[in-house]
Amino acid sequence: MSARSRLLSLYPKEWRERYGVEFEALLEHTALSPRLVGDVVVAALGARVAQLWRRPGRLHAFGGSAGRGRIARVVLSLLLATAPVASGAVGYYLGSRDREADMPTLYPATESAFRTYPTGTFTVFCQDVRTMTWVALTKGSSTCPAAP
Amino acid sequence: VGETRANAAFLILTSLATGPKHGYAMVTDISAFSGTELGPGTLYTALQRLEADGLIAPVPSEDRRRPYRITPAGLATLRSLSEDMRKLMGVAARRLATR
Repeated sequence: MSARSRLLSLYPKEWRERYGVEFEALLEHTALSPRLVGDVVVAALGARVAQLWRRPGRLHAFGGSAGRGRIARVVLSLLLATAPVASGAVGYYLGSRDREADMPTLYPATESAFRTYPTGTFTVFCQDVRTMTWVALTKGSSTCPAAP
Repeated sequence: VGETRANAAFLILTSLATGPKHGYAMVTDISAFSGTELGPGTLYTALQRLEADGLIAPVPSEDRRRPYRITPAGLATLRSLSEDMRKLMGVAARRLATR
């Protein structure tokens, strides 16, 4: 099995059936490098996790047995369940930094964005016009302060 | 990760705005107009998402390299994103002008 075929085999079977031929054709025109391998490995892992999450009743992604499938589902559920908690902790930390700096408003913002989680919770992000970075809004408001 | 995905989607829609392209043509076009080297994994993750969202569609082909085209919904999304970026660039330009 060639290196490119090995990379393709990292993807779930259903993904390969849909995109495998064209993906392999693209790989043939792309020079193998550590960056390419890393890019494909991360994407293939993402495809397997997405498949696992979409179709919890048919878990073939981690080996096919019912026991392995259950374990994989539990691990994935735990990871996803802790995402809002981790997000809240980061938001609380950012809010603490703002209070320490005694800022009456969080950040002057030009844009807002929402990040939703499978549990239905969400975090609001505002764009700091001074640094053009996105930061979590944590002070009980769902709207970003207006840009000056 | 989310930002990378959004950037890849924007670059793909921009590339397809000039006509249908297969994966390799998209990669070379995006590299030419933006300097961004999209990896195959990143490209196909974004293509899968854009197709699921109805923003692009595959074009029937006998070639192994399947082309994709932008849909009317994809064009509307690209126009909206471009307008948002134009406003943001305007803010940046005005503020830079005061320095």
